[in-house]
Amino acid sequence: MAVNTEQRSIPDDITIQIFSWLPVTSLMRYRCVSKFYNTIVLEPNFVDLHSSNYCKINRGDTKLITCINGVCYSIEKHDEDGKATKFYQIENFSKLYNHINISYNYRLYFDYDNGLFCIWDMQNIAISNPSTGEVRCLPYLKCFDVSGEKFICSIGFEPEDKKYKVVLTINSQGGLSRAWVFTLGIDTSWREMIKYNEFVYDISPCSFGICISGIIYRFSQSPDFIVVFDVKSENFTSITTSIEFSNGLHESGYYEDYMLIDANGKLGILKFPPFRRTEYIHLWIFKEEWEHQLFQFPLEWKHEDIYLSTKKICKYGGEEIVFAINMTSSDVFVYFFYHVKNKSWRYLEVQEFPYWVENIFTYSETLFPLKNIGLPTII
Amino acid sequence: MSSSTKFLTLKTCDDKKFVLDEAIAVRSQTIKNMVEDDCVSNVIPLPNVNSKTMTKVIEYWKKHSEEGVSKDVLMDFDKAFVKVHHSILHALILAANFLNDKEILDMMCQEVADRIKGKTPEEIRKEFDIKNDFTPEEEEEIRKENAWAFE
Repeated sequence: MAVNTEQRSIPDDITIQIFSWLPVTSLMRYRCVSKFYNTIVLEPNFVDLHSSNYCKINRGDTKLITCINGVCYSIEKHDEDGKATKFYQIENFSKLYNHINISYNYRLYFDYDNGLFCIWDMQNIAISNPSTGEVRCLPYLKCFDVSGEKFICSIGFEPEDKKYKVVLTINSQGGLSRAWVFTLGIDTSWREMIKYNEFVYDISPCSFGICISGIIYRFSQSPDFIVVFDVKSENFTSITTSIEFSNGLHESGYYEDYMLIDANGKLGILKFPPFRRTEYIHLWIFKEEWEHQLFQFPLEWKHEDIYLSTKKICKYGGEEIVFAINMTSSDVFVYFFYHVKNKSWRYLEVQEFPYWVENIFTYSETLFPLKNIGLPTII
Repeated sequence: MSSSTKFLTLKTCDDKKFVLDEAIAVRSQTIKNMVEDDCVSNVIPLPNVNSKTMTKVIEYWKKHSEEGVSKDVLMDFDKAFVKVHHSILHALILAANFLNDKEILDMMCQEVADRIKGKTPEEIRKEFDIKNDFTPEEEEEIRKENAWAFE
């Protein structure tokens, strides 16, 4: 064979193209191939290329993870028909505990968007990228410490400029709320936003927020509206909730059974029954107007008792809302998936999992490097 | 009257000629640019592509230009299309790159990535003919940092 394209080796620019379709784990393993491949995974251009190639096609194939007492487990399908599962520990995630000085008196809080976690207690705010194993601490300001009032962080990814921002709010009793913003990779300190009057609307939420297409939504302290933070423009606005929803909340005054979720790319409010599976689940989806849906756990499912809380429902299920339910009598828990559009259920059973499941996330990988963010981690 | 269908002749490096509907051939950005710049004489030479590879490319172009083909059929076609020997895959990538057809290039790169994702760094060096420019100490250091990725 005189003329033979098969003998020519692949030029570098195509190798880069090929690499942009690789999972993050493989890319991390190939860092020792050569100096070039060691540094390319940190190049902004390559990170962008990877996020528009590998990350885009694999978004539908997100992993379910659960964080229990600072240990993070990935739950994956095991067999062909996807009924059986296995779980394993995500080592890098646990590294967090080597980095931030967790006092067990404090609870750890999680927020997640597009591959990055923001994790905080009362003294630390950390950003973690479990797919690259990096952890960084954001600066902690004295003024976050307002006489026992807890601050709340939301992390949001803005897809247009591909920027991550963390927004932190505290609600001081005196009537003013305060908010700070930190752009990952750009800011070196928190930027304080203008103060907002509580009587106009309150930016301190009653439970955590959710980021959908670059917009962070949170409950406000009034059931009548939801606070909206545009990650790109950094403006706070609000949207009015549905009358049924706000009336219900005005009556009970009890937020614990409500949460904000991503319902197929739209903002949704979920009201769930904490204990009995036969009760109805309410879902309001915001599509210019609020649309109301009612549904129930599959009736053929025998177990009467469930223990649901916001920690056992995944807010980023995409097309599906994911509920994690422990069987009280055995080492089994079940993931229930409710398909918002088709109104159908499927489930996954996880055997021999000896923990009480909480902090459920669907998780997709990102290369986004944390190298230049915040403070070097303290060990 | 009906001059709507124009044909182009492509000549591969092994002197084989392919006569193809212009509307299909312009899936290649390279050919499209040539047509638009009016620098197409009778025959378009493709010095970097052999006939075996070009046959595959044309097979793809024709399938994807057919009317009324369902998404599922195309997906099955694509799935079968990438299941080729390693050497053909490489040749197709180089051809897609030369012809500047992003659709084929992306599909082929994805397939290669899928085939190599479980390999060791040594195998990757061999596969892509990459020279290891680390000292043993440097390499060891980086391996340590990313030890979890080797499990």
